[in-house]
Amino acid sequence: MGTMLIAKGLRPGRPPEEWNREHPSIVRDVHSSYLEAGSEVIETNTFGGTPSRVRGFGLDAAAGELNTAGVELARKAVSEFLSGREWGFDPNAASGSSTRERVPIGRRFVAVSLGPTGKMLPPVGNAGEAEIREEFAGQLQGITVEYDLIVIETMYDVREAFAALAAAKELATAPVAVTLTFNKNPRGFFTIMGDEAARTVRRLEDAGADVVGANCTIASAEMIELGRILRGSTGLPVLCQPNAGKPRVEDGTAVYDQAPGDFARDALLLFEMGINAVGGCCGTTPAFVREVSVEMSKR
Amino acid sequence: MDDFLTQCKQAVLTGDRERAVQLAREGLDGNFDVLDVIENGFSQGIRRAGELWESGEYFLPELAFSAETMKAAMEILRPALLSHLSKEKSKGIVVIGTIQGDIHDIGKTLVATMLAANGYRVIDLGADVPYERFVEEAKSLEADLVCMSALLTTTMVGHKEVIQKLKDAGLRDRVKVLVGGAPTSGAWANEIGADGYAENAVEAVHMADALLS
Repeated sequence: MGTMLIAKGLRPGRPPEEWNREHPSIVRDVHSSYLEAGSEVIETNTFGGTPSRVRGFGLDAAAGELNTAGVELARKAVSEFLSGREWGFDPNAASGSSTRERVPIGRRFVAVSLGPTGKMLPPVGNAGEAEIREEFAGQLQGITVEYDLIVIETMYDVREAFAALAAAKELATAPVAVTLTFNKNPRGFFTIMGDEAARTVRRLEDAGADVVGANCTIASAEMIELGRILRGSTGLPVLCQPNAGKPRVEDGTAVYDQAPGDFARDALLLFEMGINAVGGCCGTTPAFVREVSVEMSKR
Repeated sequence: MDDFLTQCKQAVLTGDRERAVQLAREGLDGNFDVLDVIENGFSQGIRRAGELWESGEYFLPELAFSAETMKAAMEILRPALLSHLSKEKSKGIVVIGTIQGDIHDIGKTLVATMLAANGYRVIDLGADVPYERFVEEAKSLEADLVCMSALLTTTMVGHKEVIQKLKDAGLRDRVKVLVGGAPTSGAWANEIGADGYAENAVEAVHMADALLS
């Protein structure tokens, strides 16, 4: 979503969530593009929508409005995509083949994206765990329409992940996925706060997460390595969303160089090892999803 | 003496703030050379912490503890450092900060510490420093060197902005500009017209010496 909104003119300094109110049709079109490319789950434009972050941009008490709008736009995109469409994405038809494989459309799901509050826990900062839980509770309480899933993501501190999970389990009626962002170092995969991957997903499983996994920071090749570790650590469904390679700076913006086909082949490897859900984080676009769909249709 | 310096290093490395403060006080009372205590004692601790971060044994919490401990020791030693510098002429006036929008400061603080320990008069503006403030402070303090850090690809573009503002204020020719931080590089420094790039605090001192000699 972020990659797509930046391509449409979102600049640093304003929150993407504001576009749910200012440019709703653009946000909705992004959702539609992903659905048409083959996404079965779309994530709402609410990643940075905790009340204090929204206030920090001078939007005062708009968190509820922006978060609800974010979910509504995703729901509208889904119902528009599904209406009158009995048969689903057909990558063979898209590439010009004359034989149409008719695949029943099935369902499409709206996931509420919850990203970090930005408040750092000790010793790096001095936020409190209760304060952080309140932020996520506040964000969820402000959403007045239904959704299918919650994805707590890009977590870099397991304590914040626990706080978000607790708020979500208490308030939400949907399953809760928790994915963290890990760096690879000589000793394995760790968050910047030092939470080791295998141990952390086990702790989250014990704390009631319905889905666990990893997103961001690493690209698909490293995600395969991490995927093996995650798959071997838990019986829960695992979700992995790598970046489209490592970013480099060009003219002041981050550019991601991985080719969609490359990403797609790695995505299939993730599925083959038993990762249940795969998506794309920074730098990925509907083209990436389309390539994954194409690869899947070949097997 | 070696043992004393090793203890200083260990205190920072293990994030033992109380011990570091105790040792810093001893450093003042015992007539040690304050530069020696900083550079060969406490700074060795934060440098080692940086190495352990690179090797994946130290994470942010450990770095934070070490950085706080270093800060605490420096607070005690600062008066001695200043009086030391006023006895000798300082090598130059340095304004340093982490660029607007970016709160990362451990590396920047280490560079500030090392520059101060190596004879520069350093004014550390902290983190999330507005572009204009770099220029204003460089002007009012008659700085010789402006050092800017950034840890995010999204904030490092601010280095370019500050250089432009220095030009607009007619100051560009009067200061040297040094940049640093994980996403930056020599290529970045060249691209934006900075005078140099330093990969770490030790290199920053070498660059400062080279640029201002």
